[in-house]
Amino acid sequence: MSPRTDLKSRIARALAAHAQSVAEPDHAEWTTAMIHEQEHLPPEASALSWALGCVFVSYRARLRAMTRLPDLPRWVLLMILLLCLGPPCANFINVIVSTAQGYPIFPGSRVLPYTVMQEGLIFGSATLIGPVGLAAALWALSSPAHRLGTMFMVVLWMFTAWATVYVGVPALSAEWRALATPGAILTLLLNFVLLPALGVALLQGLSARRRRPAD
Amino acid sequence: MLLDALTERPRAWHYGYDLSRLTEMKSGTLYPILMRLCDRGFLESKWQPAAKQGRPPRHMYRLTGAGLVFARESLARQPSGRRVESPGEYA
Repeated sequence: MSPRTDLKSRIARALAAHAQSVAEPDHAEWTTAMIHEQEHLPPEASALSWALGCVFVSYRARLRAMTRLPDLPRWVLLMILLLCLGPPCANFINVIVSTAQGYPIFPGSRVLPYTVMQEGLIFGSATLIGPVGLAAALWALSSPAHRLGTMFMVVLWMFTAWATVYVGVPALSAEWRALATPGAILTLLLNFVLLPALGVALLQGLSARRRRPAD
Repeated sequence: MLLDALTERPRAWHYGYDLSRLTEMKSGTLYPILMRLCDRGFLESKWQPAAKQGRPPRHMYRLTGAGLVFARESLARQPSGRRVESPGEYA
């Protein structure tokens, strides 16, 4: 065996051992099956590629277990999602109405160096997760057959990331902390970042639970 | 493709590597599908002691009766669907 092949083989075994260590207890048998199969691969097969697959499957199962939703009744899920996505939805309406009327979104506290229109665009896009997420939640909960697609979930996470970058990060800056009270900043973070993120995480869990079994 | 491979010889047991080679799927893609098929009762598995001493046992797979029905329906829905042996032939 050449030194290069030997190195690849050692890396593959190390990856397999890692996959075994992170394996979800429910999937331990499958991880073992994959690792055992690796020991039977013919010389022309790539043990490294196989071992990477083992690691991927272990992490995937671990992630699924972490994001798995308990079996809550639909109305409870709806209440939680309303709690999470209702405030950003109300904020979105407030931003649209205020901007349309030419009023600043935060009257009295000119913390932001933006014009009314810029403020409207930034906070409008940052709160778009509210109505979109709420509509998605209602659709997903309206029937067990409804499942949010992967691409749609990516879009929801991008909305959340957008709100975090354009509202959450500046809200923690020294300028904002000097001009706004800690309570106001916390409310802002809760309404624009934390609650929407929790709502999207719940939708992600709901989507994972309804994944189709096999193609 | 996996269902094609599994229905090719429905009574035979298949190794994971063989299925991976037949379907050209990477292990990271193949095994989650096998797991889901097993969870739904469409696939059965068993451990087989290794032929060579010192090697670990291998996991083997084959479709159950329900799995064969499912495979047949799934393949029939495909535009280039092909006929699969009936569940009766499986038993």
